[in-house]
Amino acid sequence: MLNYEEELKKFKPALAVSDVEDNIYSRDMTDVIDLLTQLQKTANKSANEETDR
Amino acid sequence: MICASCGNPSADLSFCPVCGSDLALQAKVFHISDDLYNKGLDKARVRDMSGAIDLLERSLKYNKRNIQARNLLGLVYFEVGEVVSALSEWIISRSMKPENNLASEYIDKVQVNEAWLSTIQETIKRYNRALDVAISGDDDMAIMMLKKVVSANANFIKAHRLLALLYIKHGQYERARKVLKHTIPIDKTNATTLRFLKEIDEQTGITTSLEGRSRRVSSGGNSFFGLFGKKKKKSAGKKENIVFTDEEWDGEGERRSRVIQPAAYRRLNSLQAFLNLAIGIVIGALVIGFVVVPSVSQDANREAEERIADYASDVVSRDMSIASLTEQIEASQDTVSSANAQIDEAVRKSETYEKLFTALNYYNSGDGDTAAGLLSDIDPTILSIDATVIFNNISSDINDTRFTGILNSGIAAFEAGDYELAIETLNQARAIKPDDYNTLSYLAHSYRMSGDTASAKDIFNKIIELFPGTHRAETAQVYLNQLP
Repeated sequence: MLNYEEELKKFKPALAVSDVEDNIYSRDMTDVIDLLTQLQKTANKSANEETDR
Repeated sequence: MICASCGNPSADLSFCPVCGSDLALQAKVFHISDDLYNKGLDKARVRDMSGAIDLLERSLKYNKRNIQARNLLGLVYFEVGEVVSALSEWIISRSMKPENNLASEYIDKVQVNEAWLSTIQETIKRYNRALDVAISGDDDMAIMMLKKVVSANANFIKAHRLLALLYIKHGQYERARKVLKHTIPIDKTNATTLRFLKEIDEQTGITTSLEGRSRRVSSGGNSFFGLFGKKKKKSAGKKENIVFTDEEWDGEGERRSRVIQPAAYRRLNSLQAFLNLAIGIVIGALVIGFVVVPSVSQDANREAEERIADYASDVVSRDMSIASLTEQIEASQDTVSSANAQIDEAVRKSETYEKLFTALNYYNSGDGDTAAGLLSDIDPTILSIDATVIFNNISSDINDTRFTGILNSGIAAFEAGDYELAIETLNQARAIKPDDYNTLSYLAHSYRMSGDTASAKDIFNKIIELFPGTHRAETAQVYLNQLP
């Protein structure tokens, strides 16, 4: 049995065309490649620090 | 291969010589992203748009620069009416790859069609208002607004679902089923749609048939097929369309991908063009004859029926108002009648008391006859107790006085030998006091002397009846016996 009130809560307002810019800037664009790059940078930094010592 | 971390072309190396990134790992990530894209593409091909969106978003989580996945995701969003999400994907795609990118073409085609874009904007605003109205509880208004939304933008899946939910809430399951079935050709496996349909099936006991429906795109919809279709007229060529084709790239470490590209159209010669034009005209005429005209006629009939229903409603409402007013008038008339009756009663009482007082004045001044005349017009039942006592006292006294006078006149007439006058006068006295012996005795003798023996006998018998065993009765009997 559907719960109308609960189902209604799942409906969110649709974005207006004028909201495209905000929609783009508000996104989290981080992907797995970014995470790998970040990990690589962290690893490189640690390695450099070890070398400097 | 180009290193995704620093952009350095690293050929077949396992590690980037510039930044030291693990290129083999990057290749695996790309492969996963592409694999998800291919699966998403397969889903999109069979109109499983919800599944496609899920896979393509996951593909972009692995590799946000997967242009094909992003463009396809935009197309899928566009197809289910999420225009803003579609434009967002394409704009991001274009910013990542400005050249040779289908996203630019998509964006241009959307932006060029200002009227269509305006319609989409309007339907989005109306949908948001309808959602607010539905939340506030005015379901009828929300349904009315959503009907307009889905009419103007047939691919706006969310609006269809909300409309169906409202129908379900009000037990209009067939309408809800019809609305949801419109979305099936666009997105076959949406979980919300299927859950709503399951609810409808359970409530109605009828399983919704999802087969046998072909893709249908409304002229007001935002389907890319419909949008791009406008261009084919200008080109007078084959239908320009979005098609999915496989393109495989060979080589070690390369991706196996599929791309989206417009189908090439072929030029037609003059005869073919003419034939196509003729066929088009015939088909157009048939469409007008079998689809447009009945549709217009149906709309006109529906409008007429709605007007008739409105008029009927008005007539019923007016009839009820008239009936109500009639009842009020009748009630007012009853009130007026009652008030008039009370006024008449009050006037009658007033006149009666006035006559009583006048009679009392005449009585006090010694004019018993005038007083008696006035008292004879008085109805004692409407007098108060005190007034009734006065009335009775006066009446009794006046009647005695009058009776005595009349009786004396009758006796005088008898003694004068005017029996006719005596009978008349004594009958007046008898009317006042029917049982008075003197009156009856003189009346009986007046009849006897006038020769009216029958009347005389009646009166003598009356005396015998009223005064049995007395001297009066014996005397009456003596006279009675003497009569012939």
